[in-house]
Amino acid sequence: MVDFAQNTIDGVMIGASYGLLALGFTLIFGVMRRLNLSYGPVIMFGAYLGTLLHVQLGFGAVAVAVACVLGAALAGIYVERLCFAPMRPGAAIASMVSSFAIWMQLEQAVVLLLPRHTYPFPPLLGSGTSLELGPLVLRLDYAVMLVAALILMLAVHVLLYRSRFGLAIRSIIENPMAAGLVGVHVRAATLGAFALASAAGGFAGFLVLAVDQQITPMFGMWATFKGLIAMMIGGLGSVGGAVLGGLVLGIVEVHSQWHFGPQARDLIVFVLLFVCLVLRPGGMLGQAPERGLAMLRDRV
Amino acid sequence: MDDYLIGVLSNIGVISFVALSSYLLLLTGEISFGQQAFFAIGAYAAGIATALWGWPLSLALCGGAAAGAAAALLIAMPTLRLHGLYFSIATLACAEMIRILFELFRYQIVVDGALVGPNGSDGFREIRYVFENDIGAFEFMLVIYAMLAATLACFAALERSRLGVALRMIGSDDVLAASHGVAVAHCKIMAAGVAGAIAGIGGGLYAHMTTYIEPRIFDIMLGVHSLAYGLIGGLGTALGPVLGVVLDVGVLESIRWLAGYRMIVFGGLVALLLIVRPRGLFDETTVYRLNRIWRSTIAPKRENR
Amino acid sequence: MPANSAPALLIALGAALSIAIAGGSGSLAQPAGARAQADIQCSRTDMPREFDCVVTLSDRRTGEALGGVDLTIRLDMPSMPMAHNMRPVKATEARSGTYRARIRLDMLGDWALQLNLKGRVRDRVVKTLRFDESGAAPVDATRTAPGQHKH
Repeated sequence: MVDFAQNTIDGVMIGASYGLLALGFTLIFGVMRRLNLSYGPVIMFGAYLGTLLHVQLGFGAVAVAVACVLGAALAGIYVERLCFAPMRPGAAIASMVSSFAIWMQLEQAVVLLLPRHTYPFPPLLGSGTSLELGPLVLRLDYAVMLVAALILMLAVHVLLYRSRFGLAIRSIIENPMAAGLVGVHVRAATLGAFALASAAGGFAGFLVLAVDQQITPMFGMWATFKGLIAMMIGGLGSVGGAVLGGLVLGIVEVHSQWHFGPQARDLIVFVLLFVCLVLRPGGMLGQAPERGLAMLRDRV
Repeated sequence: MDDYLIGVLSNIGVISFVALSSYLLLLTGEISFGQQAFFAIGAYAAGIATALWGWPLSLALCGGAAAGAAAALLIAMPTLRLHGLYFSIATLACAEMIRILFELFRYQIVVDGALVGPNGSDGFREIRYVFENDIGAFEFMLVIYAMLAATLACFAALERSRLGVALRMIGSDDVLAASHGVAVAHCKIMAAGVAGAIAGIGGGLYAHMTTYIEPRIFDIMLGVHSLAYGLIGGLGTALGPVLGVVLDVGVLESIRWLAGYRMIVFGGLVALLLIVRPRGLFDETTVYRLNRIWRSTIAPKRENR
Repeated sequence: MPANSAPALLIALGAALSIAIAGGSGSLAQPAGARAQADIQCSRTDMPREFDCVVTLSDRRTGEALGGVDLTIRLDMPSMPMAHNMRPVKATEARSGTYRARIRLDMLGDWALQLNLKGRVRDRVVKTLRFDESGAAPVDATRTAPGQHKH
């Protein structure tokens, strides 16, 4: 019972960072209706800029976090300009493959920046210490990660639902043509949404890496797939769904790793994803599948 | 031909099978991230057949194709009603499930005084059929290309058949296709099965070419690459994916002198190409125009002679 | 070609395909002669991504050193299959049964080294090694899958 509670707590904390990754992903998908495979590598690019500051100049966590966010936003803008903005409508799959080509580019770029396989990443506030709540242990850096992720989610939510920029983004998600007709500058708002989503992803990446305290070039792929899985479990194009999907993913991962080990953990996650898709393609909180389908009508 | 060139050409031939497998599903309008799984199943099945059961290569390759097709059909049934991104991610989930199962899969028997067979994450060594039967690298390359040519011929026949038209109809609008009397579900399941078989043949060839396979070979990167080949070469003809592979391997090899900057240059080139030609070099329009030029100028002259 | 002849053509091509496969296969495998046991040690050099490898070959049954073998090494990266087309490297014999080769990799990571033996003994052995900044070590079975972070 104690183990169960402990695993659930750990899962929620890890899941919060997954939720943040999925949030950025779902924002891009909602605005673009296209899959951005280079989402993770974009985050990794920002993280490597931060690592460069940390390793070469000895900067601390705060400066690294800023570099992660700015670097990811910058790389995100590059991806949007090259893979999404110049594509004709109806060329969704070309955008996807193009973003994959940029993935390869970014992966090579970070290896050129820092050629070794593993680099240290600055730890979060309070790493190494833990709170004891009766039989339960609460790692302080996990708690910081959870709080930071929640604050950022709230900030994104406020931005989306309480600002003109958010209104523009939501109207584009609803219907880009109609949004353009009523005076939304669709291209600019799309670019803004892209940068915002990449920046949110960059922050999520910073949190995950700061808890791990190390970074490798595999991180890009890891971030893309964790974000993608959490987004699909929770439901496409919904902020709440992304958060819920992230939490479910985190909790399931921690529990299955505890009971069956890392390989079975991945197996269970993919079985869960498959079952979710087949039984409820719209995701737990997503719209009805028909709506998602309409989004994908111009797919190939 | 030197070893290096034979190696490069054999690799191009083998990857083409996975690329064609993804291409067949692209024709029906579905993006699959999972064709590498059927490549893996074909590789393991054919490898087990020759190394453990002593089957001849021809039967083993057929077995690999059959295993790939069977797995693809099994997965096609539940994913049939999914479309777009949902379908893509469902195939991704399946492929990763299969890869992890291979990480756990152990089946070894004693052959010639040594344990042989798949050993989980440690891989499957000693698939020595080609080696022991003295089939040289060059001869095996010819086998690969003979089978690739046969597969391409089947695609050419498909493009000229009603079935090919039906598949492209489903690809552009499945509801419209259904209202024109195309049996959409039937066609899609069949396409998935054939695509699985093509990937399975490629896998069997791969296992016998390298003599060593391990689950990591068959991860998602292979699947995404195989999709990209169709997009680079063009979706208008089955030669497109093969051209994509040739371009990928050929360009990357020829800019080896760029060393650490290769992928930056190549990735940028692919992104630019896709802006100019979003459906690849030989897209449907280009292929149609080329066909018309062929029919109106070159073909009649030959008949007049 | 009229459209309705296509199924027949498909069947004909299927038959051609099976004949092509049947032609490409020989008889059942014969057990080979001596089988080799290979041990490989690689160490880093002053150049980045370049490694000095020492291969010791011995007879798997008798354990005696295998000298006078023509040894070439092919390199492939399992996580990026068929993506790295590297020229095969020829090893030189340092003393009987011990061979040296210098390999230059495209990138660090896990590589599969295919040792091809010709001449006195004909065999093929595949070794998987993880190359990093400090050197190379055998890839052990308990590794974590790539891209998976431990939490």
